[in-house]
Amino acid sequence: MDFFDALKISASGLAAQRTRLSVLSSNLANANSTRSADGSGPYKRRDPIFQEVKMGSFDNHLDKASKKISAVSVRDIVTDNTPGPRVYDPSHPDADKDGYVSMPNVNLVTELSDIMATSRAYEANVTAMQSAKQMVNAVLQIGKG
Amino acid sequence: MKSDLSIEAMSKAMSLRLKRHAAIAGNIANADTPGYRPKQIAFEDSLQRAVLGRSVGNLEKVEGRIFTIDDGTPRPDGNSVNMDKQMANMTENTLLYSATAEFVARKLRMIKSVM
Repeated sequence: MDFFDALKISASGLAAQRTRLSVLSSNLANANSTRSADGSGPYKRRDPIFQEVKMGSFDNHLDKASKKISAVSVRDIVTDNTPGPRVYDPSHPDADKDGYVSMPNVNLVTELSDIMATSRAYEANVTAMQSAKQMVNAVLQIGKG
Repeated sequence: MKSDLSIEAMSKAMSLRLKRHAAIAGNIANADTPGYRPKQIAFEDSLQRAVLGRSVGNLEKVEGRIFTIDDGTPRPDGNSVNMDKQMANMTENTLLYSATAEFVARKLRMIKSVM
């Protein structure tokens, strides 16, 4: 266990939260896309699923406690298949024979509050990184004067 | 004459605090991982016992004990990390680490001034 492990753990948190932010932005950007990339119906919102990752440096195999400390990664980005609302708009090119258009299942309020939570979590990881840096600086002061 | 173990004790405390920092950083990184439960590292009592034992051997054997403990009721996704609690623990840990580093530095300055 060294300083760089602590930094790596916080960096994994930053990367995971950044991925989550991209997924959420993509949901938000596609809030009105009635056609998905593969042409099958409206856009479906996606959700990143995180999982913990064991830190696997050689050092850690010598130390029982450090083996249980874990970083994070994005395991998968899953598609949310709940049906979206259907809006009556016969003039829309994607309207069905009854004149209804299937809209994406994106809820702007949910996405925006998730984005806020993501940005808070990102900041928390930044703070953890800054603390690790502070600790390094404290150690470097020992030899001086 | 009893040997002065303060520098050894302080450096041990610092390496354990570093480990604790890694554990807290892991908890913060996993604050949104479904099913994750926070890890905590305990070392205060075993370190104190080793210091009272007054031998370098005891001190070197001190190891942080890691255990899983919920910060509160788990959320519906099984995660029980409380971000505020973790941040508070991290701040405390960092401050005490810096303070210990400062004490080590002062101790060394004292020795230097004697020489």
